[in-house]
Amino acid sequence: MKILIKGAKVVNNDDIFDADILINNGKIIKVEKSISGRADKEIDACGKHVFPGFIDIHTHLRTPGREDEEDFLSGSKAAAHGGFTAVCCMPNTTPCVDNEGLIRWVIEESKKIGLIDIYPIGAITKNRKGEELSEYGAMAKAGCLALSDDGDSVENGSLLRKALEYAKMFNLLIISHCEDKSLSAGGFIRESFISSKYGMRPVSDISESAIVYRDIALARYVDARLHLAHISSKKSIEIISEAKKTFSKLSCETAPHYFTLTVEDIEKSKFHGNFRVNPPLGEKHDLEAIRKALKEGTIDCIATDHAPHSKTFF
Amino acid sequence: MWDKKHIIAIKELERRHIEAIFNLARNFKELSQREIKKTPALRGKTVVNLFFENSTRTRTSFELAAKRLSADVLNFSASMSSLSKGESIVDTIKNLESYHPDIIVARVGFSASMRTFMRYTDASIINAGDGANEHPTQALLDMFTVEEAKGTLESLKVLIVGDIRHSRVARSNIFGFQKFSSSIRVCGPTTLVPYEFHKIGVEVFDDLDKALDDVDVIIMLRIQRERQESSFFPSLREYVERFSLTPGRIKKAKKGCLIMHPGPINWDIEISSALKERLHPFILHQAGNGLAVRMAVLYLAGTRRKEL
Repeated sequence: MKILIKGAKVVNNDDIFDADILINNGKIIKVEKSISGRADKEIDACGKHVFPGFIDIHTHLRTPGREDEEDFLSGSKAAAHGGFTAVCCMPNTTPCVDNEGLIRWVIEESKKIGLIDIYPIGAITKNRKGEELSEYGAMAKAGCLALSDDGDSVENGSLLRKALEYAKMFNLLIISHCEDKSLSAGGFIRESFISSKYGMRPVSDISESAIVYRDIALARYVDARLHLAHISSKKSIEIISEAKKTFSKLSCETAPHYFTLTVEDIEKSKFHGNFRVNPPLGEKHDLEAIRKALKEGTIDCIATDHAPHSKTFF
Repeated sequence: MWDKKHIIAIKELERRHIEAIFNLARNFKELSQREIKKTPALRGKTVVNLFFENSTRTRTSFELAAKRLSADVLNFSASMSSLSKGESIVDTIKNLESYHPDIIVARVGFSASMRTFMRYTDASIINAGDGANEHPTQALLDMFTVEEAKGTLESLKVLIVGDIRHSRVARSNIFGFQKFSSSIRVCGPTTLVPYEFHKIGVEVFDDLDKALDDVDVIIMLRIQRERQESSFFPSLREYVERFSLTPGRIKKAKKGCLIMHPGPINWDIEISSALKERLHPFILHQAGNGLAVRMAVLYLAGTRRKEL
């Protein structure tokens, strides 16, 4: 089966150029100015941009446990619809993906659907409780590439240090959810003039940046790879940018809402629930710092933090 | 023309709305002094008091206000409600909507959440307190009381003392008094004043002795014991030492300065009990004004598009 895409504006990581693309049995075999010849299917892409398949390294597919919110089929369809050919899914499920068996199960189930590749992220600690390390060796063997307790930081610094050290043996990447819960304390809106004006339980940006600082220090100390999830604040970016000058094993992501929306948009929406995200939307200076960091490469990638919720009401 | 279906926040009212409420409240207050205290203004209308948080004085004063206006009143509180059987707030509203209420007086624990109610009912919503956001009728009755006593709301110096952070009364009063070009001071432990609060246009104090200087009105807020448990201050003793209104301290205030409290008062915490005899009558008078103000608010919400 040959597919020919004609007249596309091809977008690569380093360049945008006009070209035709020839695909044979699911593999790109030629990208050239003008490809002629016969194909089983020809797609006219005049005036359109063609991107490589996107990879979303931070999603919640809610499976196992909350298939009413998302399952591998609906998640795969949603991803494919948005141009994503591979997604990583976080282990904050019920049961928690913290063992070899569930890693294998996620991979097998997603292969049965076959729309996209799904890469399960295993939990750093058993049941994401922050108490004991899960079995990294067994999970790595089953196909796990990265570890995260996303939703929570590993509060115990000594345990995180051990996780970072131990993960090195299997070349597993630790992904940190940076949130000091004693500082966020059940809040849901960035501490700002707006949170004060409406008397809403606030979260200061320090709840993120304090853990960003600690986790980088630990990773550097034990020379381990570290990736920081959904960075949302200028303060965090300043720390990351400084650390990256001398520590190459550090990477981070942000999510689209952090460089398109601010806490002011929550007020404008009249406090619509769709604007409630964690970490909460920041202020204008955060949005600007994130855009700049994306341009300069301080932030390595954009992940969605796709996290479907059922329509429950308070 | 009264053009507000809902009364959700002082922030969203204009000065003319507040003045209209006060004009009506004055009439209703006069009515309450007659032998027959009832008017048929809301006859045939249904008012639901929907309280998801505990309240005695606000709820009872709304209840009596609605009854004085001849409305049918339904009281619904969280403790006796289907919520304890697991029904969601939204389903509770939808359920009440099937009775076609005209006005819902609502209190919830979530700040700025009244809009959720509007989505599920055609009734006018009156906010009786939403989290730490607003308590508009409390501010209206406070301002009404001040106007009555001072003859004006213009260019006064108003001081609000206590737990500013968690206070919907403070926020509503700030937005209200600001509409009359009064200047507002807030004073409380530094931990109980919200982040960047000066941006709201108030002067922030942490020393009551200094804050008292030259003010026309003092609003003392209730201190909740839970705040000590979550370490906003180390002990009530220390709070009282710095923020309690005492006979010695009150001397620093201007002569004729009004002292108010939304109640219930913790005597010897917010205000020294040595001042009870002197200050309590006015605070009770303030609470009494709540009835007339709430009648006015109910009346306007229940009979929209009347010429003012």
